[in-house]
Amino acid sequence: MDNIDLLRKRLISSAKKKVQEKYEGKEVHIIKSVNLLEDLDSASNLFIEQLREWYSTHFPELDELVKENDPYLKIIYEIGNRENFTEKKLKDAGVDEKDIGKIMSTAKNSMGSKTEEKDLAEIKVLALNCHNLREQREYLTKYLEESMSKELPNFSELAGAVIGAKILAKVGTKKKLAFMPASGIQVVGAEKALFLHKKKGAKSPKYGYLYQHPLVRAARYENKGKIARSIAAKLAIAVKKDYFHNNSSAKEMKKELEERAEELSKRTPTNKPQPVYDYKPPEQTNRKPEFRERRPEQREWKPMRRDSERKPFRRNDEQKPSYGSRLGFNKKPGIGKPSYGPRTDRRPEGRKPDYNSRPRTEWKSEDRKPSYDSKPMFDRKPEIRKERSFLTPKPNGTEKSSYEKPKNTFDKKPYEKKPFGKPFGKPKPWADKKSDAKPFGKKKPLGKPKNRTAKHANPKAKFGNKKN
Amino acid sequence: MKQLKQLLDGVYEIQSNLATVNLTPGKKVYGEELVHAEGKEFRLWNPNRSKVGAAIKKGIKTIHLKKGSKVLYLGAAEGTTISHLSDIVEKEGTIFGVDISARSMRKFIYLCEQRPNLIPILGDANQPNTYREYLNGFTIDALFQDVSQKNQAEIFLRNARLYLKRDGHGFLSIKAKSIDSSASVEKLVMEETKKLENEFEILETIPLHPFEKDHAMIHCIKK
Repeated sequence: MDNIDLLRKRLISSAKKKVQEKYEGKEVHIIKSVNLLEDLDSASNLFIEQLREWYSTHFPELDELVKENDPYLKIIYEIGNRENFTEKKLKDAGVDEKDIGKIMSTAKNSMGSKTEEKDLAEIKVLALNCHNLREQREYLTKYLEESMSKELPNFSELAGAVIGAKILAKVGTKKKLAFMPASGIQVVGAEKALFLHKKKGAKSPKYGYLYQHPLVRAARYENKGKIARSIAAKLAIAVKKDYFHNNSSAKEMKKELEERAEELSKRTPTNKPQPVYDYKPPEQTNRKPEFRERRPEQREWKPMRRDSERKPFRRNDEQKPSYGSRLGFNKKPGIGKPSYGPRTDRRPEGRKPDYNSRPRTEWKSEDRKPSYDSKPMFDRKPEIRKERSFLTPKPNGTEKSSYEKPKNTFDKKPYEKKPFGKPFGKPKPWADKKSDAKPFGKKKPLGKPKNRTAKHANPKAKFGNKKN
Repeated sequence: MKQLKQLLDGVYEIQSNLATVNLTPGKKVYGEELVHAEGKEFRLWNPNRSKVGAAIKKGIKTIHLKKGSKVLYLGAAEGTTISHLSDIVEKEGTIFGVDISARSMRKFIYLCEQRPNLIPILGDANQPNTYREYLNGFTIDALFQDVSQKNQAEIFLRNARLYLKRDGHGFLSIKAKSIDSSASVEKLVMEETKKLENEFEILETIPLHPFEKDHAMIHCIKK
């Protein structure tokens, strides 16, 4: 077991050395003193409140006549008993000359009781301790400023000693601060709002400890976030200068910040500056209009609605057609075709509504009555559907592929030159008119919208004689 | 007369309080109570401050510790749990305590100087190769982990592959909030057990409610 004993002693000494190394440097003292500052304030305020209440048993009017804490404390621990007040002593304590007369007159004829010296001695001790706490706070702030100007000179010049130290305390080490982005520095101190924003989608916070910066405090509400952002950006540069020991000062950056603050304060809602673009997208002339921009008549692959199929609006009594009816699968015979839906000339076989099954006399008020169409439903001629081209087999040699081979290959664009297979890539909306690279069949010329009712009214035009 | 009952090797129960026999009689570690019974001095174990103590109270079957066993403890902190483990292991055994923060090391080193079976290591459990030279000749019987990091299972696996012997027991305490504070605890515990399934045989998973909120302890054996 000697092995283990030696190991143990070695490791204890090495752990002690490492602990020593971590506490070297001034960062540690800065962080601890900043944490103390806030606690000192709160502690001294606590004790002063108790003091005022206690001394008011002896001299209550003084609480209202001397509102400032420093002269109040001095009066108590130097003089104590209200019978020993003199004008000289009050002046030395730091009271205003206007109030000295009042204090002297009320001191003799006051509501408070006459207390013994033993009791007043305890009150004096309390007053002394409060005074020492406030003095310690002042010395601590001076110490903070000195040590921050040595450790992080540029950072403390831009941000101020106290705010800079608070940010350092939150982050932990100088190294972490130096490698932090400016947006992180901007938001240090508002962690609660930050995590709400990240996890639950709330608004992002604009400032953390930087809210107390004088430039941010002086700005209007709309401009606070903008200045906080620019301050944080400069702070990030300043920290890197300090960490990597660049002997340059932060005076220029400070000037720029003040100029920006002035510029923002002069802004009014009317004279907001317009954004300046270095690059402007070129105006596209003679461009083929995009699919969305075309009129519905010009969209080649979507049919125009028949006038007889259009439905103006639905009354409140009418039942909304189900989803199946929109797709064309009408369960109830006799109900008319909706205006939205697929092309009626391409309806699949076997799902035709039976026009002849229900005579018109059996229609109820629930059914939709085609008031816009004078003809009854079953008097219409049945539709003639165009058979799909790929369903019928064609004789050999007459098959055509969707892609037509271009004759000249050197005039065409690179994406058109591919001889085999389909064209690759999606067609661009600003492509030339001559290109054949389209996913939806052949090109059709833009022209007058076709009146399909004419075709169906005259079935002989395409398919010859067909009997019903 | 105080009722004494033995639950496990070295762990006793006095009037519904957990206790261990004090290695350094007369000294307290974190302000716990000292109790005399049957001619020995016992230190009471607070399950609210220690995850292993909470697991024992919830009914874990073994800790796999006895006289002379060797233990690796990741996440030592100030030594509240480790002091009880060193009471169980007694002078013949050793415990290596690893921690990353210097502030808690200060108190832990003070503890190590008082007890001859504790060894401190100031290092990152995420990089077990940094303290490999110290643990080279030792076979470790049990591995405890109480680290609140996102990749808890990964740390456990890395350290176990290097140091834990075969058929050695591992005790991993999962803090669900440090992995994902918005997801449900059961899902996270299931995911972590899946990561360990290949190399470990999982015996039990114990939730540590009401002593610790959203915590669980996984007890497993290395294959």
